[in-house]
Amino acid sequence: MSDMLEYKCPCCGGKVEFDSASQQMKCPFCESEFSIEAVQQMQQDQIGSNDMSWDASAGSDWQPGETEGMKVYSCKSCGGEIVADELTGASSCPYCGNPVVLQGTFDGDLRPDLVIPFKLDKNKAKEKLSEHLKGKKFLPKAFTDQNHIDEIKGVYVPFWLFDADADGDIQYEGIKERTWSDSNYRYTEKSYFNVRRTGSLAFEHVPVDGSSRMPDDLMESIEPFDYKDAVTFEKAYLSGYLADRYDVTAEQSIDRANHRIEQSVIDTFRESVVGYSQVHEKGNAIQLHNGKAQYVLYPVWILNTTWNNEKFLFAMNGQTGKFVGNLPLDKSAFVKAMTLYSIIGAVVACILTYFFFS
Amino acid sequence: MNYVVAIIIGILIGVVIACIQKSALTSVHMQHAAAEYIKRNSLKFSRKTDTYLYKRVEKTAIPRDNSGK
Ligand SMILES: [Zn+2]
Ligand SMILES: [Zn+2]
Repeated sequence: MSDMLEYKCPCCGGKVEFDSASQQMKCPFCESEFSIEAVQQMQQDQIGSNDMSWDASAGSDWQPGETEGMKVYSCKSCGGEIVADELTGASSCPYCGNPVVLQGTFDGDLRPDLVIPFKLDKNKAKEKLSEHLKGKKFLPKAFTDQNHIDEIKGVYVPFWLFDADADGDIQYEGIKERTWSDSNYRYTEKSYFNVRRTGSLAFEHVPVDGSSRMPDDLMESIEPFDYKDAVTFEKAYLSGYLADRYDVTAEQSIDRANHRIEQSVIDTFRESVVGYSQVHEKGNAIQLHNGKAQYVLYPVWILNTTWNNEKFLFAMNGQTGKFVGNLPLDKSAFVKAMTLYSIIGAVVACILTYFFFS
Repeated sequence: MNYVVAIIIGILIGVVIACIQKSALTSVHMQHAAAEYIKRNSLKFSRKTDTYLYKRVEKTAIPRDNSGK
């Protein structure tokens, strides 16, 4: 019992002592009392540190002769490098629209482990693009008219997929509130709880795109891909499509996967803390183990457009049809509408005021 | 005075509606987390404790309306 003198008050940080009268731990500074168990639990097991390490050996080597007929094309404008078989060829860059030049025969790089073959064709992509542009209030008319919709290209985009088991240990302060009043005062009673959640959560196939040319937010916006359709990679799947060459390694992509996994552990554990009017996280430790990575190609339809010197890139998930891409704003239409709405709003508010407050 | 407040509120509502319509032009965002990739039924808690620590009571005087007397 003597080492209990070392415990700190969860309320003010002062040193708490055992109070023989109440048989409780008591803080001489703020007068709070705690059960012995509560104080022990607060301090005995400190939250550990975060450790997110991976074994990122994804992909494999190509068989001798397997890459025959595969050519690399490079874009002098944006530096993009794409791969296409001889028959398909490539003439313009899917990212910036500038012409690409044949650079040579493809070699090096890793061989993908898996591929999700294209499920939706070019016509579907065009159809989804017009749907995407339809009904958008402040989209400049000219933008829709000037789109080179035929330029839409099917590209296999390299992704690193990460699997891992996460161990989490998170501590929260939970506060329950009760209020009542008598004739003179309003009382608010706050009860403080030490909440602790320790557990594990497993993650499968968290994707990070391996191409620096492909904007990360664009690729995360067309998620999710359904991993169930992934099949063992065969070169034949590439015919008729382009393939982007990865230039970000699995090791370099891990941070993004870790961040998303960590956030999901925090969100999931937080959902189990219920019954409080306020919850504050006091500390977390998240460790990953059994981490492994895979190299896959995912199907994406891409269209780039330049409008008023600004670049716009659209992407469609070639498996699910999810279509994304930010659109330009017709500023004058926006200002006009905002002015009109404000005038209507002010008039309506004045009429309501006239009827209800005078 | 009431009308000044009404006009300001009316204008704010108009601005908010226009901005909501404008936000339809943006569809590209980073993902917040990896919820889609959680293995089903893999969540296991080895410890779930909610331990009571202490309580605090605050009191605030209820404002008196003295004009009645
Ligand atoms: Zn204290
Ligand atoms: Zn380019």
